[in-house]
Amino acid sequence: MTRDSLSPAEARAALDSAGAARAHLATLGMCPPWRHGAFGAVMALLVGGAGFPLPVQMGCTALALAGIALIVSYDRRRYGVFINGYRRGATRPVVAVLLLAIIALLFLQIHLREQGVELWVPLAVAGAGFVIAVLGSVWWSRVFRREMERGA
Amino acid sequence: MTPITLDPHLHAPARLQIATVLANVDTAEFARLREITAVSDSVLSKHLAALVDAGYVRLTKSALDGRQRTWASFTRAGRKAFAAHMRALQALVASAEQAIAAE
Repeated sequence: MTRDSLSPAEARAALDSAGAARAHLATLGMCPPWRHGAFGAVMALLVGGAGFPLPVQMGCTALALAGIALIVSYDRRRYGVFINGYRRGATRPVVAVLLLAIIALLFLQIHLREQGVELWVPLAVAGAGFVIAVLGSVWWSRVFRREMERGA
Repeated sequence: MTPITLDPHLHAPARLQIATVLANVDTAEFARLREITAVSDSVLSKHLAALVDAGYVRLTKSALDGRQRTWASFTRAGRKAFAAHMRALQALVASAEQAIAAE
């Protein structure tokens, strides 16, 4: 390929072909419900663990890390791509909101642990982490799909 | 008026599609890129090799399901070149539309 110029029609065709590639990626943004649930479970483990003594906390963190590894492996196998959640683009604000919410829950959990609350309280906070993470995951997927369908 | 410069490494439609995918994901597997670009293995290999030579793409191999697979990702230079190329394409189309509107 030695040409260094295109006609406007060729440029339009090139943009359309890029749009077709993005449309293909948009279809990959449609995760099955359990995939959102798996992400929620990982976040719930991290948030839940913080409400318990160190050995439990470490066990939960190890399980969460193993869960992340399984999710990454699943994504690569099923979709043939790996998309980092922290990628640049329209999804970044979604991640920022989700991260802030999870960090807030972690601080709340640590605070409650120091208060010596009953067992159900850290479990409820972990449940809140699960719900927030699932909603965040669904929201992220929608924003990603919209970004891909809308184009550059 | 600033001349519109296009990147010759990204002219080919298949290469532009590869670049579009890599600009939006971290890594993409060879088979997925072949599906999106709808070209043969050998043609895709040539396009990827050209992008690697240009310093735009990095290839790695890793096992998945007991098989060795090739994964492609953008380098920083590739990401930058793709963004500039897309801006140039959009400017080209916009200038043509303006010319038509002015007539």
